[in-house]
Amino acid sequence: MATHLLRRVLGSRSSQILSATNPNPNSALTVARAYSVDTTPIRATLFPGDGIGPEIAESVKKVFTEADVHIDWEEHYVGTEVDPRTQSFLTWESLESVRRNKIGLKGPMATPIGKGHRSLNLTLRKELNLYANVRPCYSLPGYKTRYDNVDLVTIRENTEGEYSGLEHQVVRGVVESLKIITRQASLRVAEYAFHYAKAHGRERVSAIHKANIMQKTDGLFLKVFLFLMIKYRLLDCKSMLPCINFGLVYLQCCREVAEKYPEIKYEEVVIDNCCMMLVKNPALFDVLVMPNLYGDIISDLCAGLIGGLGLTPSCNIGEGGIALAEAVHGSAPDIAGKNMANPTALLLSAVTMLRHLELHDKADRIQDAILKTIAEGKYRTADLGGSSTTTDFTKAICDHL
Amino acid sequence: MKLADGLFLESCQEVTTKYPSIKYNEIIGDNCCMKLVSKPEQFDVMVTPNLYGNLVANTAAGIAGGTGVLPGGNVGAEHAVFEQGDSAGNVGKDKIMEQKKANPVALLFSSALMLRHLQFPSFADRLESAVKSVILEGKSRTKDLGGDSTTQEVVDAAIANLD
Repeated sequence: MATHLLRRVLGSRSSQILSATNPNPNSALTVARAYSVDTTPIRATLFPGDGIGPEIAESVKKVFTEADVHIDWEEHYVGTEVDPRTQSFLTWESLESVRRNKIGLKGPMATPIGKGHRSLNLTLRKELNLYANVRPCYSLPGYKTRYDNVDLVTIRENTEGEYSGLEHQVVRGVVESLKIITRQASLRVAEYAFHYAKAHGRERVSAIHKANIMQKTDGLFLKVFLFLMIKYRLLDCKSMLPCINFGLVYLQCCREVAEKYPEIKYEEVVIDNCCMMLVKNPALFDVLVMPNLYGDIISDLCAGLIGGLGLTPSCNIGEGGIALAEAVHGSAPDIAGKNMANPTALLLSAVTMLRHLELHDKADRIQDAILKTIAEGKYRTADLGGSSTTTDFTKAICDHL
Repeated sequence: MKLADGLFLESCQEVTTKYPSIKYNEIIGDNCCMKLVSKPEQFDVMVTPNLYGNLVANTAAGIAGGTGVLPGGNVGAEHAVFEQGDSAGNVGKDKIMEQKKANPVALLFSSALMLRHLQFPSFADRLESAVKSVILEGKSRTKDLGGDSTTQEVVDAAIANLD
């Protein structure tokens, strides 16, 4: 129990632990590692969701049991009535469960029609303060798309930007929409990006923006990156490389800092360049950090590069170290209950959940089993061009563990 | 962005009623980019607001071959200015300028667009097929297309191919 708490505390504050203020960062982590032999089960909230959700959630549970990952799943479903405490179909108890466990997995949820309630995703995002959406995108060996060499991570700021919901009609036929960028939100997502890059051994962090046009909003987003670049330099993290394109005001600062580290390449990336480079040569990117709108578009674009939303894992990071992994595809009501669904996205999302918990060995085992099964090609669900059932595919993964 | 993009969609829907023979559909920006990279052939003409247009045009350009080959034009109520389709990454490269190895294909195609706009379709066709056969042959290609020719060589080859 104590070790469990220790891991949780370290999990949410590891960015501070990794900073220079802690005299023995390594020893703190090895203590956590030594105790991370899974004897105490971890409690996690599970939202199986609608449509194919329950079937693929079953797959995850089966694979985890086979892989000896001790997780106590607290299952919650979307209600049939609007809960007045949350103004949505998600109950207060469900949200409390995630807040308590700090870790969750969510299947696809159908959007209920009607008014008088918030959308499910909006509820989760606001109530749990989910500020970063992380999607690791890597080409699946054996599943051919036009791009074979994708290995990048998109980190999208998820609370503000163009999606602040502030629009108004000035006069008939003229609408204004406000884009809000705050120092606090930019700092938060940027800190997470660098922390993620360091924790997962990535070499570059690229900030995507259009600060040449939106000089104040995107310019602020980038200024935060300069600040963090300096901060991490002081920690001697030479592997941290932001590729930054500044609004004219900050260009000089960036080049000056880059000059002090000649072994690191200096690159400038604007959103339109980013799109072009992504479709011509996705291997150019490592970790991308973006404000809300660009992040929305780019993360879906990257999902398209590797084969679509049915194969893409995703994880939402909230304040206080909360991580809610989710499958971003739809609930596919037309194949629900027919044992045809592809559980890959939810499984890979569950793997990102394990990595957030720093159970890297288990995560690697499960991920390798999934990739091997897909690469072999013998068991593939209908959407990948095969004819296996969900249960056969799951069994094949368990066999590969 | 319900009000802003909603207004854009409303306007498109109004115009669509005047062209019943042309199919019309709407697609959300992120879904669009995802489909573009997996199956671009499903799209024909795409009309977008300013920012999305920038992203979609550059994505489409990257898929089709890059900024070096794609034409573009800017059309107004009274004037039209034609230039290469997207300038991402292809402007101000001093090294290319010095070695005279810039790719002229984009601007050549853009001038063909201009000829069409001026209603000289036969000239436009001749220019386009000449440039296309140069690219198809593969002998005169600048660096961004995988070859090593200079600008002048590509242009000479295009002239030679004019019929």
